[in-house]
Amino acid sequence: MAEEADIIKRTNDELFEREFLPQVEALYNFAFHLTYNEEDANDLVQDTFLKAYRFINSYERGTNAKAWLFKILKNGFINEYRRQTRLPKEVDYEEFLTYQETDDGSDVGELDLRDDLFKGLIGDEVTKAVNELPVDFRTVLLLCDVEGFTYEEIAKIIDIPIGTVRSRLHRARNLMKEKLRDYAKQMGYKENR
Amino acid sequence: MQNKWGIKKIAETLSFKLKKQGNMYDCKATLTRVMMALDGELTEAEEKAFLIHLHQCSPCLKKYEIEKSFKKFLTEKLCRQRIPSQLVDQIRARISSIAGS
Ligand SMILES: [Zn+2]
Repeated sequence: MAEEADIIKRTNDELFEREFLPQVEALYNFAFHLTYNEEDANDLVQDTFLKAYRFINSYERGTNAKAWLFKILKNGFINEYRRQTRLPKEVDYEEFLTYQETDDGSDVGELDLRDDLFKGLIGDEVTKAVNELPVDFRTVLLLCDVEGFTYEEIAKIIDIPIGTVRSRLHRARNLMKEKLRDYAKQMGYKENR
Repeated sequence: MQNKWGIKKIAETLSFKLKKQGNMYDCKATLTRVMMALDGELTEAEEKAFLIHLHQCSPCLKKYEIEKSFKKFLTEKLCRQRIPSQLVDQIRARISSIAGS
């Protein structure tokens, strides 16, 4: 009996090292952009791995380990961290939600987005702009543009329909454009003074 | 040069076929699919119709290129934060303490 438990533990440990731990950098990056704070990101990632190990038997071998871990982290953030951490004001949230329903991507043509406007912006400003997005929009943007998950994977990670992934993503990118355009303008203003 | 002509020829042939199937995109149909095209979410047939329109319509191509560089910009600027040096050790330590008990 003890031997059997040993074997199970060894295979679990192996799975953990081989499939889970290599995702630590991606998870930390995601956690950092969610919490906007190194200490919280560190805790969130540790908790994620602890939960992953504890529930390792509910992980289906051969399936997408990265998506499974991201789901644990995202749920952990929503359930435990969101309340405590410094959050951007979420008063605008309802307003964003109403946008979401009307978004079908058809206004792409209206966007005046000049490349060179963004060239002067650095990573810090982009990180800050992402952090100002409501968490639902931030999440899809990070999962898609940073981690390269498919819409279907994102839908599973967040538990929303694919159509909602699409509309949130569309809205998130437009919000980023607006914010970054404002930053770029402010910078240009300062430089020209 | 040769390559460019090759693509043009292929696009013409394909667009002829698609026209016959009624499978062509106009500007609106193309622009609503820019995001999905960049995210790799179009089906093969949709992608074909999309690319053919881009080859034939420079305003749409320009918008596509702008969106493409914006996505690339976001991806690059939001790239990996360096993980704290002890993070992996801390995880292993906490795992072995629960695994041992
Ligand atoms: Zn067009």
